[in-house]
Amino acid sequence: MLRLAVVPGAVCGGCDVALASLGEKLAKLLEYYEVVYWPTAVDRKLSEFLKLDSVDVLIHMGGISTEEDARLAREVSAKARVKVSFGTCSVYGDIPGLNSIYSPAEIRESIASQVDVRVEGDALSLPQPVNYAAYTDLVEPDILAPGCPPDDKVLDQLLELLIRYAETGKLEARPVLLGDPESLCSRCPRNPKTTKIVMPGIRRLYEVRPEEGRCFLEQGILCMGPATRAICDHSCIKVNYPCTGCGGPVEYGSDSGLSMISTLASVLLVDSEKVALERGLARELDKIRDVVGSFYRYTLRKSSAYRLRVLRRGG
Amino acid sequence: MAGYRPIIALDPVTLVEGVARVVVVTDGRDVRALYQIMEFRGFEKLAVGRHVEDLPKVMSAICGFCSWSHHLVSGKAVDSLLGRRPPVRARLTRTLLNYIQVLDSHLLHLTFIGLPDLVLWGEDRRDIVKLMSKNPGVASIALRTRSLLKKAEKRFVGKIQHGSLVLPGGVCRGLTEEDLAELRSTLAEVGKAVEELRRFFEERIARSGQFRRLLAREDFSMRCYSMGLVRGDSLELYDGTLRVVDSKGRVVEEVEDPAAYTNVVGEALVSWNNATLPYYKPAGPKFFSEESTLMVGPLARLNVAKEVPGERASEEYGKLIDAAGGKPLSNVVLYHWARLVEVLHCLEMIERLTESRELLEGELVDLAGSPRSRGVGIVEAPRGTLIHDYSMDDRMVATRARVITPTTINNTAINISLGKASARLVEEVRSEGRPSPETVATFESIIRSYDPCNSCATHCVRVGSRELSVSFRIVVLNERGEVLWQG
Repeated sequence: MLRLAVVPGAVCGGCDVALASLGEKLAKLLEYYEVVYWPTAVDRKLSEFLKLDSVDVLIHMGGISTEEDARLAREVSAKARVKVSFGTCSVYGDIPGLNSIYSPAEIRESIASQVDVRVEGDALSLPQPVNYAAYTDLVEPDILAPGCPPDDKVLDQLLELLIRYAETGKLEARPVLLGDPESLCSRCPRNPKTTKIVMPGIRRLYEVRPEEGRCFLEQGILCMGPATRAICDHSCIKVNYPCTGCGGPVEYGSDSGLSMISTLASVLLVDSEKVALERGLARELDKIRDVVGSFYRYTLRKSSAYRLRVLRRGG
Repeated sequence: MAGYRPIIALDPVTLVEGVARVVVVTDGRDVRALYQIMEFRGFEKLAVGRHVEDLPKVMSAICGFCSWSHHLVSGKAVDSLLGRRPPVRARLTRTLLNYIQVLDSHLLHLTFIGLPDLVLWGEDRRDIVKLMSKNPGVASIALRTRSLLKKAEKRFVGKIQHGSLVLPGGVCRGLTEEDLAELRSTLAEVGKAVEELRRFFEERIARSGQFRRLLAREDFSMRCYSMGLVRGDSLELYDGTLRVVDSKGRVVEEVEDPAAYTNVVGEALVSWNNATLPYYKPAGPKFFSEESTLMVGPLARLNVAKEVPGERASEEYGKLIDAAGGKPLSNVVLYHWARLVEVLHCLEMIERLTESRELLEGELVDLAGSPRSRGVGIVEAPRGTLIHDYSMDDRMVATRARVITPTTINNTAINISLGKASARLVEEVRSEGRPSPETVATFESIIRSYDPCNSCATHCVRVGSRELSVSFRIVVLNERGEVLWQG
């Protein structure tokens, strides 16, 4: 039996539920692996787990928001032969990563400024918060399993890889980014009517009634499908909600926000250049008041926008 | 500050294992328990700057267990910002999903935590694994209902967590005949499992001597204010009047306008916890005193409501009140039973809704309305009253967000409940060198009764996972901050 550990950082619990809900497939995996730590499922103390010299596979979930998260992630990763970064928080920072441009003090103040009473001075300590980071900022994983939480496609691929590793002791090219190596857009069930998508302008989601079955971009609605890796079966699009990009970029290391902005440039008002000039392309783009939340909702911590900010701050 | 003295000399506490811990402190005279939530995320900050229509999706990431509750309440707050009223079909769709969320969460909690806790009292291990070996039939209920409900959830909102449904003023997708047909057949199966669960609860728990003993114990008592939504005098989970009753069961607040919750709920931030300590505002912040404590969740909801819609639910509610010796319900062990009442309620309400034609016909979104600068949404999440409060500018961009979750509200009550059990713990540690298993079990039971979701509480906390096992550790310190015992 190989040893498997599931270690959470700052999580919401969604990744745990996704993994635990695998049922029979998980049972198959457990024919090869003994779970030596997984707080959701196994009653085993962290201190006992930390006494082990090594584990074969580590599945890390969640982001890094305290010194404790960071210390634990580093310590267990150093003992792991195969490190899996599981879920978009762990891989790219996810929605909590939107806070990575703020200091812990600024974040605490956003809560503190709204309460009725503040009591300072108690000395009982809490783990020291740090600037939010993804697990991949600390450690170079062998397998990246994005998704918020990872969907069936990614989960199936992961189980297959782990079973093959258990049988052969080998893992091909590292790091492996799960999902299919194409954009979510490329196999969208909402085939655009024309081969070339034309976006008639920008419509914010509060201004429209999205039509079922029709390409969101053609309705003027931002859909991250063109810039997002195919990690799901179009879950949100199928329930008539545009993709918000939880799968991260098509290739690891690329910037999904920049890809999307470049896509927009090539589809927005392209059929009507003269009219476009009259109406003003810039004015349409100005309707996007939240560039970060629209293009980098799940990947800000790993984006060029984040790196630029850090450079500017001299960090 | 009345009733609160800062605790000093506790700095040497560096041991950190788990996500939440209970620190018992004593200054030589008083003993106090502090339930510390240790993870740190802060959705209040990252909400600022977002397009308001994106908030329901963004804020649902607060919690992977009650993500729908956050999605729905955020939608209500955004409706309010934009001055919109969702059409009947949209409102019913959201209501239906809220029932499914509460049903799913309660079933999970009852089978993974509630039943093991009560049935295995006195045993070394009180978890699902042990329950599985002793009562495999009832332990498998969670697994069966979970997979059924998961399928329905995936069908309706695309994913089992962090799904997509809410648009400002409505929903993105209407349910179809096929959706409802599938839901009805799922419900039939879930209904059978729930009946098994109900019978087991009645025979093995409600009638047991152990349960009656717990009901009589002072350290499980909580005589404070209860808060929750009602419709008329009935239990309500999605949209209604926010009511507060006092420890005698008298109605002291009825809030119609959600934005006026600030008259009722006060929040205090202490430096030893990443979650705030809320209190009943008119009573002022009296820390560690039931006199200003607010309790929310299934037990509190049954205190604020006088009736529970649904035949089977109403019957079970009657049994609960008889066993408790009347209302208000003031023993936290009854939380589990209240959860069972709500499971029956949700099932019957979903059954009714699936018969409604209005769920299948009509508009999904109403775009009409006049935007305003502030919007507040309130729903009853599985663990109690959940509040999202936003402000925006004239570009429809969020400028402020405040989130008060049920676990945060119950944080004060949890601290008080644990405090009640702490004197004995300290005594045992001083005389025997360690607490008795019975005392440690009491701590566990108190926390499990409230069903804290620490992910929610600090918007937040790592705990998501621990919700299932509610892992925490107890640390006992003396007046010099030295560790007397930890386990």
